[in-house]
Amino acid sequence: MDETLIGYLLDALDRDGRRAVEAHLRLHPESRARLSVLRRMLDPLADDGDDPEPPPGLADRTLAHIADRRPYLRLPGAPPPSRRQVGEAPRRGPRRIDLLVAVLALALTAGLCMSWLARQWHDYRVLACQNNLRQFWAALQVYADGRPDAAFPRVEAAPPRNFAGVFVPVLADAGALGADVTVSCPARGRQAPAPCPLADLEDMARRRPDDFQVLTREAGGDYAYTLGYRDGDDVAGLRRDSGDLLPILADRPAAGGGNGPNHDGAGQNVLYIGGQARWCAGPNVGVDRDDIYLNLKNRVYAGVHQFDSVLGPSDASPCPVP
Amino acid sequence: MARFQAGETQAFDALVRRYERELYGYLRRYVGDGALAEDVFQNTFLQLYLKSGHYETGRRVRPWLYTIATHQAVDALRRNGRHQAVSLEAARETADDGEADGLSASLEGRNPEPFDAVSGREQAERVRAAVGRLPDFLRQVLILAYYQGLKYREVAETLDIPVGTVKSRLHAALVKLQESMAATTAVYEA
Repeated sequence: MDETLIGYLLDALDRDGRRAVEAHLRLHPESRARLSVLRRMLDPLADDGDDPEPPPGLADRTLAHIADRRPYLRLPGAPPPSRRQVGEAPRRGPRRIDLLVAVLALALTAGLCMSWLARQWHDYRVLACQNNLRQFWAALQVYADGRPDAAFPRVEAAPPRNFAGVFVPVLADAGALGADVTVSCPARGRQAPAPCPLADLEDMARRRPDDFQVLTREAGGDYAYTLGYRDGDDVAGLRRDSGDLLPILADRPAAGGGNGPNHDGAGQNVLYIGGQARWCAGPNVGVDRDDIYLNLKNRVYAGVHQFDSVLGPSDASPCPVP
Repeated sequence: MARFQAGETQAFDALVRRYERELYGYLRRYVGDGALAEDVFQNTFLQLYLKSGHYETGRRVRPWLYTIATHQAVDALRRNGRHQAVSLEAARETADDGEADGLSASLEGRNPEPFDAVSGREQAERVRAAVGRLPDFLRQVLILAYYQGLKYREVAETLDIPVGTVKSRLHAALVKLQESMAATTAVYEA
């Protein structure tokens, strides 16, 4: 009963409960006495009855507190109070959609930059390769200058000088090859082997045929040199006056023909007798658009005539080896 | 709250200002520290803001607000190492053992004179101290029912406990309060 009487004194009962207590008190004087006792028990609490004053500006600080955190809050289903409403400055942090757009923009920019960089890198490697070919052209001119017929190194029909890569030791033996010329295409960045002296080459062909085979594959490096053209039973080489538009040196072709691996199959650089080094997207850049890697019989042998240009990889021979 | 949920942003502002004095008073009494009460007050409305989407039209805001405030206050006291981990069993023992005899004895044998002997201000401080010494779960009920003027039903809704438990806790709180104040009076007189 005390609990109910306490509730009555505190006005903590609902209307029906209060009426019931009042009815009970009217009929029970002992309960009225008890009520007085309980009231005296509660009286001391009234000594601390003044509500503590909230510190000035508490509501404003609370609204600002919420506004500060609003960018990081998820409010389900209800709009937040405006910053103007809570007296705050405009938003300081980015919204999620802003971040998303920024990330997408950065990704797009990075993609474009990567594409642009890849294109620049490709162009740089093409130019470096062309410069190397021009160094070869200068070496070929030096070699031709020392020949009465102004001939360039010739790939012979019979061993041991019957492979395309022989032009490198021939140029080196003639002292025409500069120190900065390399048979490794700059686009591939490989370490090029030093040219083999001609005397060693001929000795190797006789005594160490296996080493000679390796040499024939590596002497020309990443380039393909002219196999000349058939002249009766012999093979003729190109000369300075053969024609400026005849190809003489180029990036080597792929194993099955076509664009070679030096520039990832995108094309090849081709050096012409006249000194031009051109980037060509396909192999049909010879006279009358013939394939520079095949003769008119679609074979990797010497051309069937002077203008049938055939550039063979290092181990290619101008005619079948007996 | 329904107005705020419907997009009337000024309604939340009005809500904070409407309950500023009442809720701060409750928290100030409950946590016993002005700065901590302010922190809890701010976090209470932050939580109310976050939960506003869950508000059901027609639900009374006041008990809901007190519920959030009480939870925040308990968390704050726990973080500050001031939470009194008194079990319900201990409270029940207090109520069961001391309720009838203790309350009756203390009431019937109560001598009001000691309280009259001190000034009003000192008396207020002693009452506040005695309330502060109550276990949390008793202090909650006492403050809500006496100082905040909530009905038993509202206290029950706020604390998510049955009305009967509210009554028994309030009763137990008064018994302990009486004992505590009697003890301090004895010390004072000595």
